[in-house]
Amino acid sequence: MTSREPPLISTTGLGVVYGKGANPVRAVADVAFTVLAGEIVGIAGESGSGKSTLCAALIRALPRAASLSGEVQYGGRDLYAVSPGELRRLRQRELAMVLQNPMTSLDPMFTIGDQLTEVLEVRDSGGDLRAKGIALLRRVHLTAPELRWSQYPHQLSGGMKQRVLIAMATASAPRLLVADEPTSALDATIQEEILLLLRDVRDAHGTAVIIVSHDLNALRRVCDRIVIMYAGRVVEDGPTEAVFSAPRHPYTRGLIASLPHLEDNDIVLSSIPGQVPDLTRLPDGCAFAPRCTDVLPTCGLQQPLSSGAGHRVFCWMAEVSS
Amino acid sequence: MSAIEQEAGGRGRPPMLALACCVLLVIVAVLGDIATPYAKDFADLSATLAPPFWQDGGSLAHLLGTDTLGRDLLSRLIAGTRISLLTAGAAIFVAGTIGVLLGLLAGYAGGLVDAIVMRAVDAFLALPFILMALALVAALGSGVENMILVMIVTNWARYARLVRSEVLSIKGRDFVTLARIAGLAPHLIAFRHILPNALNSITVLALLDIGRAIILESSLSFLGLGIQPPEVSWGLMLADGKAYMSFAWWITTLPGLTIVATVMAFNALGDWLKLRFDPRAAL
Repeated sequence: MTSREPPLISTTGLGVVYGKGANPVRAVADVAFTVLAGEIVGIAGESGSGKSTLCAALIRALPRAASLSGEVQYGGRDLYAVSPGELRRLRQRELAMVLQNPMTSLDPMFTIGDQLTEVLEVRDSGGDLRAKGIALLRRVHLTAPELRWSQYPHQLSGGMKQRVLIAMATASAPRLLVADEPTSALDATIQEEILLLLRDVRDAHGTAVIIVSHDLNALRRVCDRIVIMYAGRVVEDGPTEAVFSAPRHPYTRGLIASLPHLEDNDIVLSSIPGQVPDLTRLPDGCAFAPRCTDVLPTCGLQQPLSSGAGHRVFCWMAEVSS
Repeated sequence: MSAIEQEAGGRGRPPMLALACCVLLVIVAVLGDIATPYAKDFADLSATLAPPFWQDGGSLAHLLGTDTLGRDLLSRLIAGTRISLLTAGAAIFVAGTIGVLLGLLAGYAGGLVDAIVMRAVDAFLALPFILMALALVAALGSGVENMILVMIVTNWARYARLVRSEVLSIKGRDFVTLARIAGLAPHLIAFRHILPNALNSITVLALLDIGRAIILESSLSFLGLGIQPPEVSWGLMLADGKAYMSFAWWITTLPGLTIVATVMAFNALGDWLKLRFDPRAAL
């Protein structure tokens, strides 16, 4: 993955604001990041850090109340400039999404088979749709796919439903799969399997996968790159091992430190003091400054710029030390 | 889930009496004239105002008695069933279809389309419906077709409002978002995912509306604005017999009881279906 390869999707100055009037919520601000073809990128951050909004913006699925600024380039084109028909074609062939809650992501009125058939029809694939659908279910390691084919969503467990949804999302071998907290609603034993399944999808089709999660340990196992977000902005973006072994932003360091770990047979839980800022009243400077341990005078006044090429960090302190 | 199902044990059984009534009514309506002992307008002038068979002076020739012209009451009730159910059924079917399509359009398209459709709905719902019915009958004349038309005009708005609110809630659900992201065309999303999920509420409203429609038809016929002779309907029979109530109670009471029983049966069935379809209603 050299930097000469054109990115599959890239954003410049991406911002999303919810609501108008006096107190708009700036969910995402000034995000510039890229995803290469076949790359697995993890986006981590606390609730309200803009992860899900960023995901929705990346595949043009924002709610109407949101207003967008900046640009999303997909395959060399401005994603927000393509016509509705062209957008639909892109979604049928190239873009896919998996949502957080598998319980509500399937239509309760139809069987698994009906819903897979619909997806296959939309994607223009001819031939024996049932055989293709069952092959898809088998590929996501769903047990007894022939039986599931004629079952309704309420007859399946959450993990099974998420497998079905991944099968539906990857039916057309998409180029980009956005998984918005795909494991949050599942129990711990299933989470890992689902994440490994996403990696299988990448390996099988060269699909770029964006995974949003709170679970840093899980992201560490499957992602090539990690993006850390705080209060709607990217604070650190780098190769997974670099981010984990040498975190450069104090927030990333705090997140990693707050993972449960063992010390003399005691489970240690630490946390970052303070709380996530109000998105309607963000400070001029770095939003993390009030909770940060190493604050410079500039921190409260001006947004930090990115430093570093392969492993970017947005922090005045890093600027000073480099 | 299982707790809810256990809780639901009581409502799992349909109301058998109501169901039997509804089935019987539909059979009678379908058979119509074939099932009547006499033609509906056959007047046996030698047996006018004959009481039902269980009363003194009643005979098995006219099981439920006769009216002032000696017409067999049972035959007329059966013939009336067909008219009453036909007008109610046809009106609800057409009003429902129009209302569902407009509601779907308003809820799904939103914006200006929504505003226009819903203001029309508000306007129709704001008019007292018996007044609107009287005005329409005055303008168009009476008769079965106009009766159905009146009921369509006075009822479609309720379906549009119900479906729009259903669409608004279903539209935000994850599977619809995913269908959109999967590139499914908007009309396919509307008809394949949103409409089927709204169908439960529509069915319940339609079933409960049968009662309403029968009452409306009877009221208008009673006022002389609905079904016209020689056709016969339950409301018309009520009107015919009202002058004789003091000495020939059966001419009004029997059609009246039929109306009450029919409306109650369809409402009971509708209520049961509502509970069946809506798990929240059981809690």
